[in-house]
Amino acid sequence: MADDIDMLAGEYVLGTLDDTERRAFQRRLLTDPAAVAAVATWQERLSPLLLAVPEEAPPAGLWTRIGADSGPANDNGRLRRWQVATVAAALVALVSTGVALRPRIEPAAPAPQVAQQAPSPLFQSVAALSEQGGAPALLVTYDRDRKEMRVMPVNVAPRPGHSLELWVIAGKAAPRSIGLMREDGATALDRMALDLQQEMTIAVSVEPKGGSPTGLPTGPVVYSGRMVSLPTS
Amino acid sequence: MSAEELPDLLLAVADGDRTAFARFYERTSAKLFGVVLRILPERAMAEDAMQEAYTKIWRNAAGFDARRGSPITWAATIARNVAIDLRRRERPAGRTRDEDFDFDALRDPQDVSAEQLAALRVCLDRLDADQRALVLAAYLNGESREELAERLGHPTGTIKSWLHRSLARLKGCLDG
Repeated sequence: MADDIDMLAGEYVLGTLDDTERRAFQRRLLTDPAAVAAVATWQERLSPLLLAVPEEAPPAGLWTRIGADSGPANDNGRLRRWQVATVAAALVALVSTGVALRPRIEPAAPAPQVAQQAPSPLFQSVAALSEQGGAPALLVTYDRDRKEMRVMPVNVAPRPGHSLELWVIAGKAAPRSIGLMREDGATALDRMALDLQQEMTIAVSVEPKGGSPTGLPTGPVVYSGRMVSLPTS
Repeated sequence: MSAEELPDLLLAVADGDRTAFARFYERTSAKLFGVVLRILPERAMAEDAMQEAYTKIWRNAAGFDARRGSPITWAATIARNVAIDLRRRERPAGRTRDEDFDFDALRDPQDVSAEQLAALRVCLDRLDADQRALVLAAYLNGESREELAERLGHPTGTIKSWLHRSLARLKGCLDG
């Protein structure tokens, strides 16, 4: 299978997968660190070629457009920088390509909810989210009866000027936003209907303040983990 | 401050320094525009891609990790991805290049180690001319599997297996 992922990743970097294959591989990139690493390696192998392409000065007016465009999105101020999962950082542009498959002008995605502080936990399912399979950075529990998800940071690096957005990936479906993480501890999300019969992955991506503008992750996925159901007593 | 290094500029961009962002643009935009124009020969579209790419660079500067390559590589990769997305989305009637890729038209860049480029050239040179052209048309011009199949008059399955063979040989050569 390693070869298979290597060829897929190579074609992904070349840009020769068809739409269906590309979408499937993008979903895999959200949850499979080995796929992410394979893509990063192919990028490293081929990128010298990219930098050898002859330069061409862009028209003078272009900077004006870009300057106007990039106003409020990054208001990091003078705050401490943060580290992203290294491979994910190299791929910041990759996972976002899902938006390319949609019309250019989209209705704004519904604003993610920032949720209430939660009462004591009771749950049947749990996921430990980590960075590239390292030590857990946060724990996510789900209580089927109250349809409530709780997100407890264990070791989450602060991301000044950004929001951390939670996503659920059920089976083969596209990632669905389930809200933004609070910056001050545990997050509780209610009215969450999850189909626990499906394989479920929870992921966290770094987004502009206020959450993804597209309804799909646009920044690097920094933590992810599989949801497992506890044995029922 | 005079000629700052790109990593320092990008660190400042991550901190929201707009002056640093303007200088980062000055230092990188000709390279990125060159990359984008190969994929989107139509200048208006190429400019749209540049705008989108630099917006991403501004937003995601904090995600750049110096341990994984140079800022220019990171930025050029973002620009290439944006351009390819745009090309797939708009399906412009792109001009197709039939000529074999001219390596000597490529300038040795200052930002990437000469050895890396040399190694890649050697390994690409070991591929059959047809297969090398296929890899370069995909990677540098953003041609899709379907476009390549149509242009060369082969089924997409054939293109796919050629690409796989080329990728496997490149990998073996570069990692060997």
